[in-house]
Amino acid sequence: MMQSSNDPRRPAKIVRYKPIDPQTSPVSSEDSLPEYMNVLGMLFSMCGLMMRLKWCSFAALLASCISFANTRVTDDTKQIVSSFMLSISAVVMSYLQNPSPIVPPWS
Amino acid sequence: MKVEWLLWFFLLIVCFSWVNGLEFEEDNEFAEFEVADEKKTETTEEVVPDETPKVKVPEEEAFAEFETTEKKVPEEAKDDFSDIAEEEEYDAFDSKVEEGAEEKKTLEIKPLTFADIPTHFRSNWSSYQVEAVALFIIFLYTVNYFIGKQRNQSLAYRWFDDNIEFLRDQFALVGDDGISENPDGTLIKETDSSYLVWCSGRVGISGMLSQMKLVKRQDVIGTVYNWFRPKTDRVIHKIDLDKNEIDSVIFVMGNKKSVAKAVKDYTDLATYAIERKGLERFGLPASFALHAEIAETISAILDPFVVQHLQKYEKYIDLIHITDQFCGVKLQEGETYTRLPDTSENMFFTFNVIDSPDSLEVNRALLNLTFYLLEKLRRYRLSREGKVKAEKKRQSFADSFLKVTHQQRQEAMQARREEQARERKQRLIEEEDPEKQRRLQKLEDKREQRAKAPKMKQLRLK
Repeated sequence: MMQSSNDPRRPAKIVRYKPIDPQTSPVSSEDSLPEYMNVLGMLFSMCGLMMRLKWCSFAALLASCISFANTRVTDDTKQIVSSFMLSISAVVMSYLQNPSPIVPPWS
Repeated sequence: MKVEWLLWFFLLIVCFSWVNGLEFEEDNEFAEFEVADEKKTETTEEVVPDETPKVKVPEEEAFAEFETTEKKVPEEAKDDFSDIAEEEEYDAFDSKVEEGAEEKKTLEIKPLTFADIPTHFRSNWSSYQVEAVALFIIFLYTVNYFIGKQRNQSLAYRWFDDNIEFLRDQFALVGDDGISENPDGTLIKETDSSYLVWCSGRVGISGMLSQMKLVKRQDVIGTVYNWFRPKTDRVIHKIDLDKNEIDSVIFVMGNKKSVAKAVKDYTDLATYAIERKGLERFGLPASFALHAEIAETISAILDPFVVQHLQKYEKYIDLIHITDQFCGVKLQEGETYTRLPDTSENMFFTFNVIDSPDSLEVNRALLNLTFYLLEKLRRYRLSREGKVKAEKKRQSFADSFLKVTHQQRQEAMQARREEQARERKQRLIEEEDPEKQRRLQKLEDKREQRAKAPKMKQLRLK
């Protein structure tokens, strides 16, 4: 069947979709928020574990959540899971070492 | 940049609190010792009062024993020595009893106090206020994530459903995921706020990538950032044209802020496009800006149909960018291209997605405008003067690029020559056969002579 001259469709010209490789293409500062949050989360976890700052552990947990919310589908899930595990372990270890509550600033 | 500042800010807070924490810990350590000391004294105080009744009892028993012994003594035959011994015992015992009584008196005076021991988790939930606040914040964030993600997903799918029929009229393939054998109607999820539609199989273009960039509703930080710098949901149609499909046209038009940002970011616009003023004569809305390389393209592109759509759908149109020299985003400061960048012919249409009752009609009209401009540019050819002007500009850009990189290329060439000479000399030294060595030395001398001799161009007479 002849295609009408007004029909712009060309089935023979189909080109399949190629996902953009994140390593070759430059990443803008907006798109790199999950990476920043990942690093921040790890930093806070280390501070929470080594310096026994409980609020750091909670901040690490929040940073992991933010990183998860902004993650791309193509990103490695292992990294985000390990970030969560690290922040949860920081919280647990802080309270095992010292079960007393954080002194509230309003007290 | 903003996230980097945020990172540095958090680092500063952590360092500050670490320094405070050290002093606090020292106090704590001392406090522990003090508490421990108090504990010891208090425990001793606690222990002693507890023990006093115990001490009393044996004493009472002792008294009882003594009473009995006293009673017994007169009954038994008294011995002088036994009397003295008993008296001595009585004296010793009396002194002990007196001491005990004094101790009892001193002990009784001090009041009982509880040792400061941290109570168990389960019995003391009310003091974990900060922890409760932190967990509540995380809970709220999680709830917001699910609600925002759902909202974005429904927005994206609704837009796709509204536009898929029109796209199917233009393309043989709509919604390709790049993997499945029979692709059709797939909306690719990039992030929870970014969705892609790939369309292909049309005359004049290799494909069109429609990207839905939605507000980050799933992220509280993103939502708060949007309150300060409001952005609407947008859809960006990136059309990849076939080679030589359009003439030398570089043109950008749209919202003033978006145009300014595009001119700053993209190399082709920064290099070729010139800002055009007095847009009222073209009938453009006041909120629009326009940059174009060649002036005649403006009146060619802005015909009555286009102007009518621009005026009617002003708030929906963010940016229209047409270029035959697209080579991506401008490089960061300090970076330079090592070779002339590859260019491609592209068209970008950025539209705002605003939820309204007539959004179906709006979407249709905007896509109509998109393909109308596409077909118009495919047919449009510059005048001879315009073409010459455009070619001259492109040539001057290429020449300036070569000039800038000339020194770099010269240095690279020089380094390569030196490397080759070094290798030759090394081979000469390593050569064991004297015949070969002599031959290589001769070749080396000839080369040096040729290099030293003045270079003369040979002219051929025809």
